[in-house]
Amino acid sequence: MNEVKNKFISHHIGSLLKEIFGSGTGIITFIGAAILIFFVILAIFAPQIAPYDPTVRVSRSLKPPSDEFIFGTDNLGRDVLSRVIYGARIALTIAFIAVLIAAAIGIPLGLISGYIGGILDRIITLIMDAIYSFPGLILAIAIAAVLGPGILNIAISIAVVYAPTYYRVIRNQVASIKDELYVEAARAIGARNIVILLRYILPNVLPSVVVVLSMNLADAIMTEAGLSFLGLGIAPPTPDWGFDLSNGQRFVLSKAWWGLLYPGLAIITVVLGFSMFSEGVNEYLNPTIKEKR
Amino acid sequence: MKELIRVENLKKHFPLKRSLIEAITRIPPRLVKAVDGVSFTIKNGETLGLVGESGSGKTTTGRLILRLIEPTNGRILFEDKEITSLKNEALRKMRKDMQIIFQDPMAALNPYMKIGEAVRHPLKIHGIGSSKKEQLDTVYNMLEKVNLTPPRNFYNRYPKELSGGQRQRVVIARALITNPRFVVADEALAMLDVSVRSQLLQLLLDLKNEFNLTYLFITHDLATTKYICDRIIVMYLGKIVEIGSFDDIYRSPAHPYTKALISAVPEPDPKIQKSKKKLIPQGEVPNPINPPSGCRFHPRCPYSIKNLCSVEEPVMKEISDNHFVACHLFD
Repeated sequence: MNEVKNKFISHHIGSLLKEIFGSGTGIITFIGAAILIFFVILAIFAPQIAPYDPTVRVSRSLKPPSDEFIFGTDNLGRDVLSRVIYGARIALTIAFIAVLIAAAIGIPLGLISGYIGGILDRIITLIMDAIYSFPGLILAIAIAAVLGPGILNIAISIAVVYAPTYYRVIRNQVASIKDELYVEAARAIGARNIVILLRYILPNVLPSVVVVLSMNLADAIMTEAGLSFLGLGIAPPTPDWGFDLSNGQRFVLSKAWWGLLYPGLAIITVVLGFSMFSEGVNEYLNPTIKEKR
Repeated sequence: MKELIRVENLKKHFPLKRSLIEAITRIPPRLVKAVDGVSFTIKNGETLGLVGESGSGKTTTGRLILRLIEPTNGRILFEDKEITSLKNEALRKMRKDMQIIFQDPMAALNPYMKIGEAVRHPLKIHGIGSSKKEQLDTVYNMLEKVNLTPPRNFYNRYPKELSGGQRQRVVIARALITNPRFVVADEALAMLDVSVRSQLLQLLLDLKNEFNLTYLFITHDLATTKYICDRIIVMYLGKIVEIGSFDDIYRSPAHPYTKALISAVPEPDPKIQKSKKKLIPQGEVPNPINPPSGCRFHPRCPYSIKNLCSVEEPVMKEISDNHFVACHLFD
């Protein structure tokens, strides 16, 4: 479990926060949850909250922040605030879809591999380890470049990167749980293998899936932003934090700092929120961590 | 009495993991001979005790009979039907008639399954009971029989909300819900408090009479067998050393190992306890990877005969009616 966690940048952020705040994990979780709820609301009610259409020119270009345009306008005269609000939609949608796909690939494979073992287990483990050993963003870039732009394609390329983490956690837990007495008891009452897997083993591994899932979301958002920063994400003019970030940095030299700052802040805040939240969930579901302190 | 189970020359050898060099040079893996050729029968309606120290192979024997692990060699017959070669589906169907009560009630229940569901699951698996209501009634009935009352209240609880004794009652209920013919009780009472133990012993006896059960009662504690067992098998290092009725074993034990076990049972009367001859075997149970030659008990046996016990393996002999022993002292 721990070796898998180290793959997630969000886990490192979470541990760092915990060191800073000491025993105030409750507060961390609360702040994290608050940030997440805030962004989810932004994403859902973007048309109501955003003052302007994010894809339309509403003013002259590169206007600094003012009462009319709180975050200023970008090089094409679009409202940065509206783009940041709408950007939450894309970021969260892709992150959720990616995580669901990753879990949908990793969990069943992990269950089968851990339960059956043998040659099949070795083959799947080999493939998964090969994927796992790649640096995440590089692999995502390669896949995204092949698949081309589009929400689902981006989600798939992110999902492939994170599926092995689910696989590893599930496989290792199943391999140890299948020797538990209650699994033998299930066999003794005549349960089929599929019933044993779904009713006796799966419920016992789900708590760790939740932990991986919450850390995964933060990293998926970062990877998505990274991809669109490099121009492999959603096609413009759809508002996207990563794309706006790369677009904005071109005009920093002409003193237009707002085009870079606000999308960047949005990414940082969401990732921080997910990290805090996942660290809290982790602690809640894993009482042994608490005792160590 | 008709025999329900017949075990013939049953063996279970667990291979040890080979080192890299051994694997390359193709040296066959060393074996732990957990059960090494045991034969016995269990009659319909009787309670057969299986006693021995830890490591004697009694638990493995129980699991082998239920086909929870694959035997290396030998045959198991259930009502004259060979079950050793049964495959998946046929084996699964047969499990309705053979059940097991595990030693550790804390580990034998799925922590994420309500205990009512756990008890009902065998009914679902074997398609017993036509409707959900009928199954629920059966479950409520069974929970009541094992004294988990009110059953409706217990149905929706999770294992962690129950005490050890209550959980063992759940395990017993789950084992008996399909109305099995044969039940293996694998140290079923060993982990419980003494007070709870006697209650559950009584419960097992009551249920046996009610459902006409046949028990294989595995225990390391000879004192418990007194209350429940008709016949007793004594095992040592994967072999049977003595088989006899309860009285044979308890009043006139023949094998030195059985004598040692009996002498270790405490007597409530201090006078008898003091005058009792203590017979404590020397040393530890030897390693089953490399069991002693000849009679496996000879290194620890105070009566061992030179040049015989360490060389020749004793065979089973009937020394009185239905009392068998494997020892050179009775040649």
